[in-house]
Order: sequence, then C-alpha cells, then structure tokens
Amino acid sequence: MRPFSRSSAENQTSEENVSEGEKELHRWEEVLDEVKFEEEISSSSMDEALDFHQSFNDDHVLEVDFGENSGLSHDDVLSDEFFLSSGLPATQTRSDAETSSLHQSDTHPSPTHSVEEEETQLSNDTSFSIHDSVFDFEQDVRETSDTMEEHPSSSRPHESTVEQNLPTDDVLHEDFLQEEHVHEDDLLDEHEESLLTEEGMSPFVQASMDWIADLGDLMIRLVCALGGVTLFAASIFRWMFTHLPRRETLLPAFYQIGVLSLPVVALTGLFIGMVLAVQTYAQFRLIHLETRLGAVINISLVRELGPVLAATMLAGRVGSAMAAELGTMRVTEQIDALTSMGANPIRYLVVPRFLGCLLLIPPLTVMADFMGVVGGMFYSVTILGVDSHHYWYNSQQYVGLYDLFAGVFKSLFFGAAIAIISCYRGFHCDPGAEGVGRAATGAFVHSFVLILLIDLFLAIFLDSIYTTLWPTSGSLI
Amino acid sequence: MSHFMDSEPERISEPPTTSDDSILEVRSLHVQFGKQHVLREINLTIPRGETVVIIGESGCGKTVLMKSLIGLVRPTAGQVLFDQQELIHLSEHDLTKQRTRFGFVFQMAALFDSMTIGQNVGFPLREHTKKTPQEVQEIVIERLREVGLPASIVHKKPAELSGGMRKRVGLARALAMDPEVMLYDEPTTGLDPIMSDVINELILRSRREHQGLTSIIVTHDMHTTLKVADRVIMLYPLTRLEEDEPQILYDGPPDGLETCEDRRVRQFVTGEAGERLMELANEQPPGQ
Repeated sequence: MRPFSRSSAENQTSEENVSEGEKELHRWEEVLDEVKFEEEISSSSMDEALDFHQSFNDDHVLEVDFGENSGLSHDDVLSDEFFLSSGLPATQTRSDAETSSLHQSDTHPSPTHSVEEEETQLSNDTSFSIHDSVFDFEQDVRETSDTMEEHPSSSRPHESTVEQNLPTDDVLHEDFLQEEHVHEDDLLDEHEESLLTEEGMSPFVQASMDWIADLGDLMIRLVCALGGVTLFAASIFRWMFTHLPRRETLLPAFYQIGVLSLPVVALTGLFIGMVLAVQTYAQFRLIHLETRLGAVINISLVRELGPVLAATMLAGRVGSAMAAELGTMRVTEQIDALTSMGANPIRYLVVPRFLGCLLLIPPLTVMADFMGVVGGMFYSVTILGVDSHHYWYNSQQYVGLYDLFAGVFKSLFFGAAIAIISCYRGFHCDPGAEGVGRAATGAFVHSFVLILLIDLFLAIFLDSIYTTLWPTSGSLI
Repeated sequence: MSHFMDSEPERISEPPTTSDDSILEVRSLHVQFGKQHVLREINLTIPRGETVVIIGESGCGKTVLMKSLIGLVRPTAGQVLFDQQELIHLSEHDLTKQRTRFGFVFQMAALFDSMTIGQNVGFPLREHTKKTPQEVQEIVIERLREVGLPASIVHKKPAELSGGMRKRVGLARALAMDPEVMLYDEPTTGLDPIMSDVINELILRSRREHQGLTSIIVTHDMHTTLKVADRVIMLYPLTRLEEDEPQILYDGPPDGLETCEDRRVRQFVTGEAGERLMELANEQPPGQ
C-alpha cells in the first residue's frame, strides 16, 4: 500500500509525485480492490487494531530501516510478506496503520508538513515509523484527490472505483466515528428512531389525536360539572326539606327576585305582545284572517313566549346578580366566615334564593302573559283596527286553560334551573374580579341554554300528556 | 433547600403524643390542591390556653393550616383533632356545634356586606342562641366596646368603616360567642403601625379577659409575633424544600428565633432577602 511504501526513488520532488499521481492511482486501485480491506474490516478486528495501535504508539516498536544496507524498499514494506514477518496479519496491521493515520489526522487536523520537508526528513533519517508513513498516505490521498478534482468526469461516483474505495477525509472520519463510538451511535439511532416515530406521524393523525384528547378533556370536565351541579342541587333539596330558612333570609331574597323583577318582566311582555301583532298582521291580512290575530298572539304568549321571556329576564337580572353576589362572598371569604360561625351557607344563602326563583317565577310568568295579551290586543284593536269582538272570540276558541297551565308548569323548571345554575356558579367562583365576572356571565348563558333545552323537552312531554288526556282534540304542537 | 441550612433545624416535626391538656392536635396533615402540595406531614399539639403564632413567608400554607384546623379546608391526608374529635368525620349538626367553640378573625375581616355592623356582630348569637333581640343588642354593644368601638356604629354598613375598624368589628364578632379557640388570620396586615399595636393589645386583652382562651395567630409581623406569642411555629414553602426536609423549620419560644441555628429562620426574623436577591437578578425579563 502506498502510504507504507514511500521509496527513496519516489521521494525526489513534489512535481514528480504529482505527475505520477495517475499511475499510482491505478496501482492503488488494484491493491485496494485486491485487499478490499474496508469491507473486510469488522468492528471486532477494528477494536483489536485500535488496541494494537495504542500499544504501537506507546512503544514505537515497529520501525523499519530503509538504509542502503537494509535491503528493503517501501514496496517491500507494503507486501503481505512484510506484515507477516512482523508477526501481525497484514489486514490487521494495515487497519492499524489506517487507524493510526486517522488518529494522527485527528490530532493534527491541518498537517503542515510539506512534501519537501518530508523528503528532507527522509533523506536525513532513513529510519521512519509506519506511524509516519500513514501520515504520508493521507497526504498522498489528498494529492490524488486534488488531481481528480481537476478531472471532474473521473470524480463522479460510480464511475471511479478508486474514488469509491479511497478513504477520503470524510469517509475516514465517519469510519472513525462508527468504530470509536459504536455504542453511542446505537443509542443515538434508537433515540432518533423514537423521535422520528413521533414526528413521523402524519399531521392528520396527529391532529386527530389532539382532537380526541381535547374531546376527552371536555367530556371529563362536563361530567365533573354535571356531577357537581347534581350534588349541589341535592344539597339544596336536603336543606330545604330539613331546615327551612329563617324568615329574615327569605324576605330579602323574595323581594329581590319577585318584586324588583316585576317591572322589567311586565314591560317585556307588553312589548312582545305588540311585536307579535305587528309581525303577524300583514300575513293574516293577505288571507283576510285578521280577526284570528288574537288566537295566534295569545296562544304564542301563553304557551311559549310568556314563560321563556320571564325566565330569560329572571336569568339576566337575578341569575347574574346571584352569581356575582355569591362569587364576591366566596372571594372575600364571607362564605368561609359563615361556615366558621356554624351557619351552613347552602341553607343560609342558596335555599332562600332557590325558593324565591321557584315560587315567584309562576306569578312573573302570568304577569308576562297578561301584559303580552294586553299589548297584543292594544296594538291589534287600537292601531291596526281589528274588530274587538272577533279578536277576543277567536282567542277564547283557541286558548284553553291547559295552555296556561303548560306555560306556568314550565316556568317552575325554569326558575329552579336558574337558581341552581346561578348559585352553583357563584359558589364555585374563580378567584378575583375576573372570576366573579366569569361566574356572572356563565350563570346567564348556562341558564338560558338550559331554559331552551328544558322548554323543548317539556313541550314534547306536555303535548304527549295532552294527547293522552284528550285524544280527540289533536296535538298541542 | 439544603444549601440554605447551616445545620439541622432546631426542632423537627414529630408525631405528637396525645395529651389531655391539648385542645388541638394535627397528625401527619397533608393538604394538596390539584397537583399543588401545600402542606406535608405537619404534626402539632396545641395545649389549652396557649398563644401560638404561625409565621412563614407568603404561600407557605399558614392560612391553609389554620383553615384545616376548623374544617374549612379538607385535608388530603392526616387528622385534625379538636378536643379529641376529628372534625371532618362529625355530622353536620355536631360540626356546627363544634364550630361555635371557635372564633375566626379573617384577614380582610369578611364582614357581611348586606348586614349592618350590629347584625354582623350579632349573627352567631341569632343563629345559635335563643336570646331576644334586646339581649343580642346588649351583647353586641358590649363586644364593640371591648374592641374600642362606639355603639353608634351598629347601624352602619361595613363599607362605611375604615380597615382598622372593620378588623376590630371582625374581632368583636369572633368573640361574640365566648369561644375556646381564637384563630387570627393575619390580623395586622394592611394596618398602620399604631392600629397594628392596638390589634396586638386587643389580642392580649382578649386572652386576659377570656380565661383559658387558646389563640392561634397567622402572621408575617414579627412585632406581633414577639409581643403576643407563647410559642412560634415557622413553616417553609414546600417548593423550596427537599423531599425529606420537614416543613416546620422552627417550633419553640419566640426568644429562640434570633438564635436559631437554621439560617432560613434567622433570615425571616431579621427580614433579609439573602439568596432571594440572586433569584431576582437571575430572572430574565419576558421576551428575552
């Protein structure tokens, strides 16, 4: 092999070396193809070679005399017989030599030895170590690589066997890493594979998994909230039936919920009755059924709009206020103070509000119905000129007591839902002003959604009751 | 953390032995909110008539410990015994009865906004006694005088009073039922030095006037601590402790605080930030 065999004849001038580069290249090709030491080197043999190289470097044992009387040329040194005579397998020794060159290139990343210097050194000292010759091999490889770079066609991969087989710096460095850090590489590969498994997941799958996780989280929170509300409601009923609240706690709650809500509920009912008259009159006039306006307006108000509007107003005016008040009490430790003084906060704070909503929403609903009927009649008869007699006659024909009962019955559930949701939100308020605000908003939104949900199910339920009781009268809906 | 310590804490938290003289016992108390551990392996025995001051920096769990004593915070693990009874296992009726033996002065007084001062102070009397409104009114005025407030404020709302006055109304309300244990949650926080001293005097006076009154005070105020305490307990935040370190750094007389071997105790007593300043310096501004 070339690095071990720099003969004195070849070491004349650097120009001659460059000119003979191509010839040497072919010779190396043959030698390298024959030996194929890169393919034959197993990791175990490399380890042995490394061990040997270490001892070799330490002891500098293998020195070759190239003096005139030695009878050895550098080509001789290259031969397998030489390696065998040194007591080492040729492949192993070469591997060692190569590793040595790697080591040297590693420790001397930018060798500054020029060819002239090497020649001078060789001429002065005919004895050099294989270690040094390995370094020369690297230099020659660089020269050869430079020569090949001048002929790009020959440097293309797969066209030049030499290039494939020649251990360039990068290849040597990779080999070094592979051999010196085999275990680290394995671990690194495993780590990279694990990362790739995660990162290699398609975005769709990743997004789907995230979505499922979010959905699961939402479901858990929903179930927890539902359980919390259920337990809270159970606690209210328990305290309501075992320890009735004191009168002094009931009256303020009733005043706040009932009396103060009355004007706004009445006003809302009045205007919604008039709006119904405005919206339906034009349609009914087209078919000359203006006198039926009373039936349409009044049945809409009594069955649906009266109870739902009263409940909505109660949720907006009272529900939010209750949540904010209880939330503030929670934040300022007033609920803790109540508990520390042996007063149960459910009994003291929640039950009066629950009873207020439950018992006072039916009268509020009736008030909304009444004001709606008055508003609708006023606009239809006074403004639109509908005949009063027929207006009331048709109303009487179509609106029955069951309709009124259905509306008031539904309002009881609306009132209970408003009280439970609002008090629950206030009781479980997050800290700070933001928490109180969120509790107040949430109380209204959740109450309103629940009102509509209950309205749907109760409408279906009451209709089925109606058809069961009066099968020949047809459905309510 | 261990590097703060010069040596082992003076006393470590050990399971207390049951004593007939003790009114409150805490055994291996552990409180956790979600994933946040607040109290860990707290063991205390508080004898009747003792004034115990619990000190420690913000967030170390002092208030949580005090609320655990009265059952306002449910322990994650461990026991709290009041007069040999575990509060959380009592029925609602019994728990209510036991709670009337406590008086709790809250940090911000926690007066009921919707009630007058008279209604606030008379609230526990109306809830748990069958006294006539006239009798309640007399007791209310007496309690207000005890804390140095005139009878003329009974018809005022809490919002109309100053912070110091609200604190004193809170103290009057807590004393209304002649409790056996008084719990004070930072009674001097937010008050001027003179009003703080007034509150300290009221704590001492309430102890003198109510024989056998046990007081537990949570505070940062070393002036209050040194003035009223028979015994001082110092808690340390779990976030700054190693796994095996006790959360109670000091449990002993107030005289021993300044000579405590634990550097963290001395730092707290003297009000030195020490290594915390380094933490401040190491904090990077947002976005950098």
